[in-house]
Amino acid sequence: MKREIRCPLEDLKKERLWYAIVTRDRQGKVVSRERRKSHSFLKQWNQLVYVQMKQAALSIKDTTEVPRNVNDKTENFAMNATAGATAFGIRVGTGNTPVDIEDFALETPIAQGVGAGQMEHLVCTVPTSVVAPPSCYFVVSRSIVNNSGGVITVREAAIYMRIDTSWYACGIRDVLVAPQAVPNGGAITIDWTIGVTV
Amino acid sequence: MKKEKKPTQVQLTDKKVEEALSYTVEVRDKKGQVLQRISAPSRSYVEQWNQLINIQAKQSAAAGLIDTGGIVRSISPDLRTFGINALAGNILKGIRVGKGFTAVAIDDYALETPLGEGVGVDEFNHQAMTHTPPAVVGTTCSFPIKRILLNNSGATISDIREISCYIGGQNMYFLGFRDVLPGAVAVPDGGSITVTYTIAATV
Repeated sequence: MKREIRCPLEDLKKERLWYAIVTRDRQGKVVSRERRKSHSFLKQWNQLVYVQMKQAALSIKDTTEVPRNVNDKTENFAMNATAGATAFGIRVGTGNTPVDIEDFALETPIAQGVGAGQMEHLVCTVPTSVVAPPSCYFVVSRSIVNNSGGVITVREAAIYMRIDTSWYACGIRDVLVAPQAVPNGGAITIDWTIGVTV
Repeated sequence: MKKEKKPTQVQLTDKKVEEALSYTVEVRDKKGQVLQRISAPSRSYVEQWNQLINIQAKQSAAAGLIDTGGIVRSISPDLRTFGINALAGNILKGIRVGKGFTAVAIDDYALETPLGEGVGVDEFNHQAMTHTPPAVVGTTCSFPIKRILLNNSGATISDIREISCYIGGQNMYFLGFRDVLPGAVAVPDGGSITVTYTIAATV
């Protein structure tokens, strides 16, 4: 049975941050959907905004919990990960602890690969912002394929972003309302919308 | 034939997600006494803010951003993007005020009627921007940005109705957020107006 948890799209369009998740089986048939407001921007996101606004360095925890001296850099906020890259871009995990402002990573991230509990990460796409008054938004999107040989249940999702030139921080994390069981040969696709509305 | 069950639509009632913005405006006389204080949620980030985040996130250039002079620009990812660290007298970036009162629109690209730098009629001496590092209190991480504007024009500057923050984008400048105040503000000669924006993320 297909399961759907969806906030009305018109309500979500007023939000600054929301996501849509679609889980498909190996034939591409949708087995589950979830669409809702996102919880939430984390401390690292706000710290990186500060670094860029002040144009000065600040200590920010990376995704391994190591404090890094992050400077204003061209690479800050990058999410455009290539296929197979899991240092940044959208990631998923199996943890279900509620989001805390101090979260610095997924609780239990799913690694890249085809081994047990691993998934194959496709490219993380970031199309150009769209202006649709009274909003302006863009969608960060990534499909993650399960070729592990077994079912993998996804319970959390995040956006890892580049900080400074060679480190990565968790900017956004959410625990899913309904765990998404991704069958072997299937995939989970996450579309994260980052917007502003007057 | 097996009948498919219609998917249910669930309206979630989670607390509102915020990467919130709010402001405080404080007017003082020449002795430093507070004459007026306004605090309110901000409306709002405008399109250039989102477009610049987008350029950084995708790490490639985008065209069609309108700078504070009304000129359409193509912008690449850059270390100067979002910079507001204006020194005293610099009004290219940082907090600005004006006399316009047209409601904020997503495609605003500047203050409607910005007030300039100087000691002439309707001019302010803009002090340096100040920034306080982000702090976590409970479920919120926030930081304030602040600017004091001194009125040395020789007369009261009245009918101030709008506030904003201009931000960097490469070597150009863009409107990041703008607000129309609920009422007009007047700053006496020798007095000041202090605008503080607080940028917050709450889970």
